[in-house]
Amino acid sequence: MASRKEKPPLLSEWILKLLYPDQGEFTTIADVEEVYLQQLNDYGRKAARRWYRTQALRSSFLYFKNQISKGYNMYKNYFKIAFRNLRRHKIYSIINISGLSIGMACCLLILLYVKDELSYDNYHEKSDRIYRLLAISEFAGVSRTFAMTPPALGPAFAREIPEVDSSVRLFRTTFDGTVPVSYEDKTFEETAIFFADSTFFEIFSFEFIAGDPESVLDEPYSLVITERTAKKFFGDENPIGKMLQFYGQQNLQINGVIKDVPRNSHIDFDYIFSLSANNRRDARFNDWIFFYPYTYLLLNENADPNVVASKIPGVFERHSGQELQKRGIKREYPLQPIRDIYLTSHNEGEIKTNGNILYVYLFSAIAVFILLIACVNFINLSTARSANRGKEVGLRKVVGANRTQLITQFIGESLLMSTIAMIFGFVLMLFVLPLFNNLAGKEMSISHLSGIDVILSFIGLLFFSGVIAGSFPAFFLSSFRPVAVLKGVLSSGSRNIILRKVLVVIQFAISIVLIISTFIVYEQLKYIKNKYLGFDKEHLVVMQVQGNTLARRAEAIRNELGMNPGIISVSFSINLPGQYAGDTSFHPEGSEPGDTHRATSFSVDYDFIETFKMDIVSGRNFSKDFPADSATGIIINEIMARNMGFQEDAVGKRMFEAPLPGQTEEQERRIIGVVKDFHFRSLKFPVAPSVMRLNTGFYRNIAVRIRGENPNDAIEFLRAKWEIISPGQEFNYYFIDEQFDGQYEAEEKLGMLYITFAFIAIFIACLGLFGLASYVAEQRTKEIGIRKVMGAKVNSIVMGLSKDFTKWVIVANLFAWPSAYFLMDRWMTNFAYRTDIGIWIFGISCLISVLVAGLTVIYQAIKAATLDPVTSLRYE
Amino acid sequence: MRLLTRAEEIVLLSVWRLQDDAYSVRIREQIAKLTEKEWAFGAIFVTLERLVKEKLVSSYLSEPTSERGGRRKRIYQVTDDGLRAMVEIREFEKNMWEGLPEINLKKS
Repeated sequence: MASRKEKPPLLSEWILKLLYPDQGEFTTIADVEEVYLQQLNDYGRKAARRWYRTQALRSSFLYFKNQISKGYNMYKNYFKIAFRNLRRHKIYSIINISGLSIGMACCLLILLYVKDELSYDNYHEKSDRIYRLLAISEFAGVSRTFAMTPPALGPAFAREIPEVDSSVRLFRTTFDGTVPVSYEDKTFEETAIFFADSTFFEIFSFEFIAGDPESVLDEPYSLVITERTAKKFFGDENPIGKMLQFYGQQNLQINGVIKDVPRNSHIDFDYIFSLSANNRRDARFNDWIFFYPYTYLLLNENADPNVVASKIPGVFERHSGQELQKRGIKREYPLQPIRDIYLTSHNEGEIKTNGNILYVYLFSAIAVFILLIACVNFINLSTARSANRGKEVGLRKVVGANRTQLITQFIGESLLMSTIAMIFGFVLMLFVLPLFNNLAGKEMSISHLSGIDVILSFIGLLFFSGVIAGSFPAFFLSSFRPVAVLKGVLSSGSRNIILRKVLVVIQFAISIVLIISTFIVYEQLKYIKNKYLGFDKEHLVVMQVQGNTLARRAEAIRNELGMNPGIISVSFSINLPGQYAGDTSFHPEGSEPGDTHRATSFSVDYDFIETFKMDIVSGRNFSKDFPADSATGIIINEIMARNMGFQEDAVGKRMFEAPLPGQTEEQERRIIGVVKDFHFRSLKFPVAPSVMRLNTGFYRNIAVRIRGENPNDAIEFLRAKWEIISPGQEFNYYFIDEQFDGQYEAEEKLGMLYITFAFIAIFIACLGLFGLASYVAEQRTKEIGIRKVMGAKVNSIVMGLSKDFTKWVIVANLFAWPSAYFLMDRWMTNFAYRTDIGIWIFGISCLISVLVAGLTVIYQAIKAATLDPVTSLRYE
Repeated sequence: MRLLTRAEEIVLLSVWRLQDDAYSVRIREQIAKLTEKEWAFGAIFVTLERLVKEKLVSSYLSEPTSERGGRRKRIYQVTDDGLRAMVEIREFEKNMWEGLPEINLKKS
């Protein structure tokens, strides 16, 4: 026997075995192998294997050529009959092909979508070795997972764990708000600015237009920008060596230009610069506790990530175990493969909102279901019309066709059908691709449909639908007994009526699930958008101001804006609901040392609570009459009060704030007021504890409550006053309600996609129903004629014909309700606040489905019922 | 009876020429020598299969030998019908060529 090394290519051998089995003796394979071994001896392994593969390929072509030429006349006849049938029964062909085409188009679109979703971060050459560190931090009984880590981890792990090749830390310059970047007289407000260790471009693969990836970030404050940024500032000029100014003060030199970051990346940046020499020494960049950068590790080629993960606790315990224990924090730093980040990582502080693997599954399932609905149409219509083909089958059998040949013929026919549908579906997909891109927020193009996997899935799709749709009719039709059919005994077959009913019920059940889901998605969206947040989110305009001089101008701005009658109140703050806000921890007076509570903290001015229309439950607002407010005064929300064990007596109690980075002492705070709980994050999360402290020295936001009547006038007024508010900056503003609603963008998209697919599904199902109804009407032409002669009314005949179909649709509803309920109940667990799934949704979905199905059927019924009995009795 | 195709003729004649050694490897070699072209194994298999079906050749399995790792060969033999077909095609060729005006190819 040939040793493993001398074995011919496996797949090729398998193909040859399949096509030339030599009655199971496989002497053929031995023959080819004999020559192969000779080749191996003479020309080497590579050439021999190539020879073997060519042999297999050429031989398989010859095999098929031979097969076709053997049965040339038979296949020609099959084609002829297939095309004749397509042409003779135009309505059925149109129903089948259009349904299948739409199904195929859906599948192709979803294929593109899934491929795109799965391609995230694949483009890095070392993507299989890059891992990101997450931080799971348990503190005061609450565990939270962050995408960011303390800055000291990366370098320490790279140094102390032998399996880690290198590490890179990626620091974000701004979490919300923009940074002005200028060159000469051009200024742009930018958000995607990062700084990183010099290893950044060694670990990640970004395509360089200018500059050396290995060394470009080695120098402190060296800047790399993307192509589009370079275009924006310099047009066609060479950007290398030019200086860009950040925040109007800091100049960085451009040392490299890369191609724009691919869209399928979980990191998105336009500027990246290296740490300054100061940064590198700064204690904050060597801290083991506080979260700052995103940390990525590059593992050795053969490293096992589990081994690395098992070594991580040892390293950080050694460096920071004591400090963590002192603070009462428990930490874990798990590894996350870079390719999984986009679809599975939804932690706090992600670089951008990631996708969701659930939606990938969901859409794939929907696409398959829609295709199934289209296949069911084919099955139903071909079995229903089996009587028409029965004679042909009988005759073929009499002439000597065996069952295999007949099955081949009918499956071939449905393959032909699915091929035609594939072509139409492809064209259809080209037309709707821009729409779909819009809906799904993608930029996919047809060029993504290349590669062997896509070709294989095309072929797979073709065979899947062809065989699914064709196999039942093929087995059914080929089972006819020639004597019976040629005598004309066979009618449409009663056992198939049951099958058809079941299939129609399945079709409609799928459609109804989609309809119900659509309703529920929209109900939930409506619910969370209208839910009261604990403050009045309507007519609140926020402007973000750069620099640190805003506080000095605050009073002047307030006076200036207050002159406009359209403006009710103005508030200055560092952060506000809907923006990123950091957490701090407190422990209440008189409690055990370890009793600490985390709260998100907002730094605001005297008018904040009034401007946001928050409700003070007890105590008071910050007031200028109490000078101590600015030093120790703090306002907390109800949850925070409850967490700390206070009842109505919270006001006047003291609590102690844990030291911030750079501080060592606890800060004493005195609670001066309690406000009603308010939401400052998306309603996917429950209301959380928060505190507000008075700050008069530094502001970043101006929140303006305007009158509802003329919001545009107020905006114009703010625009006009912008020169006073923030000289030299571009005018920017947003409405808080719009920003809150914008957090549900993914859900909005889901709703749109649901509505589209629900519509498509029910459309295809109705196409099939239409075909079936017209078939039944045709079958019962004579019966209807006789009924009319006997004096039946048109409407009773119409009723009689449509009753049946309506019954099926109602049965479909019964199946769809529980499935839709469980599906959407599962989906709603994404939200901390959820609407009730109302009974009316099921009612209305039932009504819609019955109505649509009824309308589809009734046309055929009326047509049949109004036919002159003379004509119908002469029929046939 | 129907006339053999060229491929069938070539393979049939090769089987007759090789006699006891007529299995696909040798046949392929033989054909390569005659036609100066490498045939795919599939072409040989397909043609042989057709010849077998038309009963122009028959086949048997050889005893296993050590040279192929104990795997047997399928040896082909020309049947009487095959021989008749060979004669027929030779006659046919001869008739076709007989009495044709002479062909004068210019040396190119």
